[in-house]
Amino acid sequence: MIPRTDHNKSVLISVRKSKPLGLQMHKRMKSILNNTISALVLLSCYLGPSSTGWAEEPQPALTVEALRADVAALEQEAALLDEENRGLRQMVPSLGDDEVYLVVDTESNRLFIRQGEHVLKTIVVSTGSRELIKDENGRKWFFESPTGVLTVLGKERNPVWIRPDWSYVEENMPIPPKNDPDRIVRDVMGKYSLLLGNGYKIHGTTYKSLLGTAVTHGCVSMDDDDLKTVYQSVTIGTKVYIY
Amino acid sequence: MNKKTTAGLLLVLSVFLMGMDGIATSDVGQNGLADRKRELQARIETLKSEQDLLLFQKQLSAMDSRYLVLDLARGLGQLKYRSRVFLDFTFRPLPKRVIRTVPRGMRALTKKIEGSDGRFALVFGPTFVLRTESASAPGRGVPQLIVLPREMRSIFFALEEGSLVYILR
Repeated sequence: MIPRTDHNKSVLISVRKSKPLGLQMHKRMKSILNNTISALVLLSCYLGPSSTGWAEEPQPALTVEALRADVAALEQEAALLDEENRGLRQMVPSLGDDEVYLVVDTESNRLFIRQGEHVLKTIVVSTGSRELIKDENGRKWFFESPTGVLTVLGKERNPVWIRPDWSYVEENMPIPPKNDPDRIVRDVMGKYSLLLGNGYKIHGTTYKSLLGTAVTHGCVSMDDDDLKTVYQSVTIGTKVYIY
Repeated sequence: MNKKTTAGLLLVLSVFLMGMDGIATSDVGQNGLADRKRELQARIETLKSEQDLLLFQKQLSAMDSRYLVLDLARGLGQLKYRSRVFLDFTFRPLPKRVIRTVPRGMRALTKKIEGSDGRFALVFGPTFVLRTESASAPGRGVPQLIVLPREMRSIFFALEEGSLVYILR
């Protein structure tokens, strides 16, 4: 038998006063839940609203700021490059202009009427034969089209050909005096001609079947219709690039 | 459910909702900035390439020599003098894997090879060879650009050893 002591009494009292076990557990759960909620609220306040997402970077606010700074720096760099390129485009002469110019390719015997990057027309021509002739006095003539940058110095309608000395040498004919009317030949250069200097011209031809080959004495010759187009396309001062 | 539990649940819900809202806004902003950054980086690359070509053209505009500009990806070439185009020509485009091996920028013509019957080849160091189909291929393993004979003839005689080429990819 257990002696009835005050201590035992108090124990008995406490047992008598204690609530059922289920109720105790319920209270404990509530307390845990409340504590968790409080912790979550405190955590969310500490980290900020956007930090609750688990897929995010640890400090997204800073990342966005860094990105903004990067973008700003890149925008500045792009603007600077753009500006520099604009300046460069202006510094490169005739880049992007729409001036008409002629290009003569003596290898393929083609003339191109060009405007900037565009070809307006491709024309089959004849250029210098690269043949050499000599007269009995040792004078030599090499029939080559002049290469380099030439300029249209004049425009003629119904041009006449003043036969030079080599024309007589070539045909084994006696050379007439300088102002001999025999030197003046009409209707062999077409209806138009463009003067390039030093006696070189762009003109028509009576040897149409030879177009596309190198047979001239240095001039650039072409068909009548093409000649008209070229004549109408250029002005005095137009550049002619022969290579 | 008592009042305390309801309040607690509401708090939890609000915390989650706040978080979700935050994620969406931040993501949109961040993605937008990242896209803009990529866009700008690409633009800067383009501008740098353009500047490199412009500097080359500026340099050549003051020189008395003809040069080539080749666009490897498009199979297009230009024979130029100063800032004028003398000839537009095409060449057989190279496969992408070969194009990647050819460095962008300026190169010099190191050798002219004139064979019989219009068999021409222009050698640009170890970088590439420009030639007609019938010409023998100098430099094994070096990319070969095949040009039509008539155009090749014009290009061949227009250039000399030391002439420059600018390669675009």
